[in-house]
Amino acid sequence: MPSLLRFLLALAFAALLSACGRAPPPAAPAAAPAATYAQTLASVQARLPAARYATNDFIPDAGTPPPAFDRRVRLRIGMPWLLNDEEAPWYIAQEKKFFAAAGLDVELLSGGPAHNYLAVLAGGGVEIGVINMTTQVTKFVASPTGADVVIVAVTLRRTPEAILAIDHDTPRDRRSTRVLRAADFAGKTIAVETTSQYVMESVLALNGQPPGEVKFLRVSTVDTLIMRRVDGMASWIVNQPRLLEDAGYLNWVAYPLAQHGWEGAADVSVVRRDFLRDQPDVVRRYLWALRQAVEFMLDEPVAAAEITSRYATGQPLTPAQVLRRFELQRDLVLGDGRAGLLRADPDAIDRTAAHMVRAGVIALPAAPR
Amino acid sequence: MKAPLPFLLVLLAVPAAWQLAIWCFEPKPAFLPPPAMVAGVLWTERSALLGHTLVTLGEAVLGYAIANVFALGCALFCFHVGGAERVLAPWLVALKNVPFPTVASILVVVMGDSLGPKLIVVVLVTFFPILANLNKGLKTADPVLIDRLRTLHATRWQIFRKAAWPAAIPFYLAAHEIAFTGSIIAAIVAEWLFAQRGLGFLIVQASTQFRTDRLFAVTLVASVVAMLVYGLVGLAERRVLRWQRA
Amino acid sequence: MITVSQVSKRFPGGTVALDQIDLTVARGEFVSLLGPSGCGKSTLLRLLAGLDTATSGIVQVGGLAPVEACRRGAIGVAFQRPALVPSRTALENVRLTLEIVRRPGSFTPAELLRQFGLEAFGHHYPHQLSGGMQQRVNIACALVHRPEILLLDEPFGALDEITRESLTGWLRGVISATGQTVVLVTHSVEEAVTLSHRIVLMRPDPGRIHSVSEVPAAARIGDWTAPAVVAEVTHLRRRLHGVVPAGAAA
Repeated sequence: MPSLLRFLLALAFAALLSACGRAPPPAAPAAAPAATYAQTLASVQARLPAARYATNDFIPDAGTPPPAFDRRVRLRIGMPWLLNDEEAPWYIAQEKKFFAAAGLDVELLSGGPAHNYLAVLAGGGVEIGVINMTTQVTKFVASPTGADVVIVAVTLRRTPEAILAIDHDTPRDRRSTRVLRAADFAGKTIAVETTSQYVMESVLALNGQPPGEVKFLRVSTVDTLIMRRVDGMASWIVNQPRLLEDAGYLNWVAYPLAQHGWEGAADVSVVRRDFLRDQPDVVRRYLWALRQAVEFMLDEPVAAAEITSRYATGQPLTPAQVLRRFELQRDLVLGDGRAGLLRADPDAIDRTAAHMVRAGVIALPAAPR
Repeated sequence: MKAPLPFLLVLLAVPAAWQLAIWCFEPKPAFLPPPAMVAGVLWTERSALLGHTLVTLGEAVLGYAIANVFALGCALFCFHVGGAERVLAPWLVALKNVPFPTVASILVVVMGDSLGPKLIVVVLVTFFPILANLNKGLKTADPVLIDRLRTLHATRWQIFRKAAWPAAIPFYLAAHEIAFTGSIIAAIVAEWLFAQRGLGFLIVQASTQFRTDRLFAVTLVASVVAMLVYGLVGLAERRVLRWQRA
Repeated sequence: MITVSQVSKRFPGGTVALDQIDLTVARGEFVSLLGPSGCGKSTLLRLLAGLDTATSGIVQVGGLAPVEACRRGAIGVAFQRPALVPSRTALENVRLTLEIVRRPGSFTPAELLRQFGLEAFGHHYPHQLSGGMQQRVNIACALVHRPEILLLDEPFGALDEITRESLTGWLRGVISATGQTVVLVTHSVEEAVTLSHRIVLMRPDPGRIHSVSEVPAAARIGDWTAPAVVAEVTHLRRRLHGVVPAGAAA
């Protein structure tokens, strides 16, 4: 029994030793970017150019008639999230028979926190993966354990990412007119996900706020914002503000990253390169249907919201709630104009990739990929 | 020393089977990266891996020590106060079965990204197997021995120390086999849910960066740590229970 | 030394284990409680040891309530199953008693084991000892603090006949050297005859004293085949037949 006591003591001692005696290691692998941003960008353009993994060549122009096809094709599409209103264009394409008109029998597969449709896509489990952000595709392509995939369209052409906050100086039942600046986050705590912390840090740094002065906490519910446990929250402008409004907080205020030098696009349609090479017409047909759906969503928001609320089985939503999202995301869908719907910007993807390299989130391949 | 041999077998067989799978099925590295690739990560990122491992180990061991103190206290209480176990049991079961993601988000909101929430998760995971085994072990104390001690007018505490505790030791050690390795998993899960460092965090980071090679490296490190801990328990068991082999 | 007067023990559920028992044991006396199963002899021993309380009547040990006698370390007990801690050596098990009861004049554990012929086995764990050795260690545990009274509940009941016979002889030697007052519960007529000054014959349903008999000194010897022993055993066995309820003998 004394030996057991000694064992327990040793245990406690080891615990103290390992808990206290060690300096915290860096969270991200040390990237040590000695290069300037311009040099890093040049390296990205040389070794991991987005022009290699993003193409707009298969997106039809507005007003293109339904494409001809010899045979119907079955298409499995991995959705970016649980079936909510983020996937409105795909529901519309089903409901309005745009997919059918393009000869596509589409099955929409729900996404969610445990789903990684890039890996599934690489493994052949789906023909098309709709991925949250272009940055994810960049990470996948840059990874030594990634695969050769290509972005063929983006639905939100500007990034919906924002730091969401509540303006406590404005009454809850009124909209805030406040404009947030990066310096407002000095000494504050921002709720992030692992995937978004480097983004927040990069954007704050770009706007003159040293990220070292900001604290980050890994939580993801707006309750933490309401409870004032955090001051800001990494979120999508089209989504969480709506949750705050539903909870009675109209006084939210956001710091949209797209307006502060962070370029990205969301709801990204991705295919395997061999699929694009072997069946380019299928990709064209898919993008034709998607374009019809997005235009319908822009032109007929009420009907689109009604369809969406019926299809969104993963998160019950009223048509009014869906309409609010459409309102919040309209500019992001349009980007630089209606003519460019669904088009990605490879140069912008490169500029963001350079930030990712500097943040140590990706490492560039030695040879061009 | 017979014990390390099977472990050695694992260390040899797993990479062999792994490489064989690579040759036979040629899976995409996104699913199964080749061993050499993972070994490369283990080598180039060794200092970061070591740092994160120590963080995880620290949380696990500290949380485990706390769980032991609580479990021993609880078992002692149940032993001394008749009926306490029956009263406590439903509370403990209810507490045990609270789903971690729910607890985790509450904990991290209340306590922030501090050591606290991780320790609580480790304690929640490991406390119950220890307590259950202790309670069971204490009950196996020889009633004849207890009668003998009573005729010597032994106190309740003496009966615990001299009769019940020695009877509970093998059970207590068996609990360590499950719970101590469980504490590592618990710490990893806690980090995976809300931390910014540790092996669990590395797992999230690696998976969001689609770095399957790093994911495998972290998994390997975690397995080795768990095996070492298991070995340590085995060693302690051999020492404490050496009378059984006399 | 031991006084039991008008003692009854009723268990919850109504079983009467002991009914109106009167018994006195003098200092230095060796008394055996003999009788068939269910006659309450073990229950009586537990009352003497303070492990149970009588429903009515008075039990006194050395003029004290049994629990009080225990507190003073006046009682040593050994049961059929050795009460040994498996993770302690023989010597450590004997020491265990002294860890709880500190009395002046206690035996030295090692010395006691030597006297018990277990010198070479002091550092053996119980599972390394034979049943007979375990029981000797067990009795050493009961004796080491030199209690005035030794209570034995079928200490040799689980041993083979030969070991049992030799241990009986050994025990007689030990007791005559230490001079304890002993109450022995046993099934074995031979054991009772060759060890006791007096034998209390009990009968079941409810547990009562049937008769008390003095054992002639000539029968208290080691050789179970000696005519005096055989005669006394035969005599007692006949009386024992009388107390077994009809039909229960089979």
